Amino acid sequence: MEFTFGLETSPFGILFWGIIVGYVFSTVGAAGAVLTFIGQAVIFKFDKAMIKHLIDQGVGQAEAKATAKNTMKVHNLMAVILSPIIAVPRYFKEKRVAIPLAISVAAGVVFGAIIGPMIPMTLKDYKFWFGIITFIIGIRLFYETTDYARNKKKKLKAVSKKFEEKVQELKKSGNWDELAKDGFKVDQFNISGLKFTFWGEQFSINPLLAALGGFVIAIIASMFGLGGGFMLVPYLSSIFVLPMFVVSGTSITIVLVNSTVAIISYLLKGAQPDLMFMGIMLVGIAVGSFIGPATQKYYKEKYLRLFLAAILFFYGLRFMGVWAALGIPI
Amino acid sequence: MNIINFEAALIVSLAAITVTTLVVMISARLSQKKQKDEIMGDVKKYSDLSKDATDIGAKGIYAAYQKQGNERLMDYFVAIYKEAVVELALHVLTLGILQKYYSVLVIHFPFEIWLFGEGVGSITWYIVTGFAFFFLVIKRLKPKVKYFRPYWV
Repeated sequence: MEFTFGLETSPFGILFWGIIVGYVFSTVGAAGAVLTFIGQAVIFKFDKAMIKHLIDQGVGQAEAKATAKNTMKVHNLMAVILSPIIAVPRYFKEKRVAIPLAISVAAGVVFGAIIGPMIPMTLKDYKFWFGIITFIIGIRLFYETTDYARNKKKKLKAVSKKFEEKVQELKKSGNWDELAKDGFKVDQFNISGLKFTFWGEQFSINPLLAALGGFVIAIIASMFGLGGGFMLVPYLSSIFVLPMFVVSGTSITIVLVNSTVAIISYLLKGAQPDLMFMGIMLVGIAVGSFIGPATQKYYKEKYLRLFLAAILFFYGLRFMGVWAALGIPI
Repeated sequence: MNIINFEAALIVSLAAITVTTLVVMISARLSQKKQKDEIMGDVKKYSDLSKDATDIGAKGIYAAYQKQGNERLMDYFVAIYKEAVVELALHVLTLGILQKYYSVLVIHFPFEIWLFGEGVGSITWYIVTGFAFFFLVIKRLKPKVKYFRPYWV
């Protein structure tokens, strides 16, 4: 089948790859965007097909390469933006977004997501840096399969459980649902300080620092066609020491802002997303994400993580050009 | 040339209405609400306990709860993703079919408008009618039609 921008491949192949992406993401909880990229760049060679198609239509080689690179970033961002599109309106309805904090970070994110796509990067450079990200995720997955990491996790759970039992004995439990009804209240908001009460707890942050962090994260994320959630969550929870229930709704709102601005920036730069390609891939991802948890009980998750880590190492090194430099023709 | 291409408007609107109805029924069947509530309950619990740990100065236990809370948060993001991909995949696929096989102007402007160009195409028309149908019809029918609600509601 021929797709809109010159790609010729079987739709079943794309569907099958989508099922693998959905399966892995729903069981391991990581590598969704990386596998989507591997599918585009390695399995289906979307960039090469698009470059050829555009050159055949009379577009210059440099422009065709830039369009293909920007299109792949938009495809990645399309996969990223799905959750925020659905979740953010619900989060607002359930008052789970710390709006003053989201506004502070988003102020920086908007500028970052405009500047990120402007930073010059060739298709080769993009693949190289994506290779580094792929390799790092591979290391992380491998680490999680080691006995050291697994024992550490078990130990943490045991310590927490003991503490939890002790607290339950000593303290009458607080009613979170009642607190949730209150949503948030701004106590003080000016350029140097923001104090707000969220779910009955008061938080104090520096809005300028929040905006600066959002700015830097958005530049990096939008450059690579990523949502930035993987950087925002540790940023909000570590730098501002915010609890998870504040981080979840707020970070996903910021990811929506970042991804929307970045997609618009790339579309204005000439990206031409192939909706049929992405549609088939997403149907596969939907199927895979339900098969994953249903079949998880039949094997040890550790082995899937190890397998995935090996794949990510392999492709990370390939994108970085290591195999080519060693003279290995893969 | 007519300002509105009625045939295209009808075909694209029908596609939007059919796919939107189908998606609402499928996503009601595959709703992740129960799982999400359960995970959020855990996240709240870990948050509460980590605060208690801070109050008594137990930094190690605080870090342990934060880590477990973050792990559950990742489960939450996966649940949201599953829900979102079910709700949007068929729409994106239909938009892809329109992009490839039925890329026409539904509304033709008499002059060019910045950002919109010379008119409203089938893709924009699909999105507008899909949204309108969801908010004006489906949302009102949800309490009355059981197929539009999660199976346990």
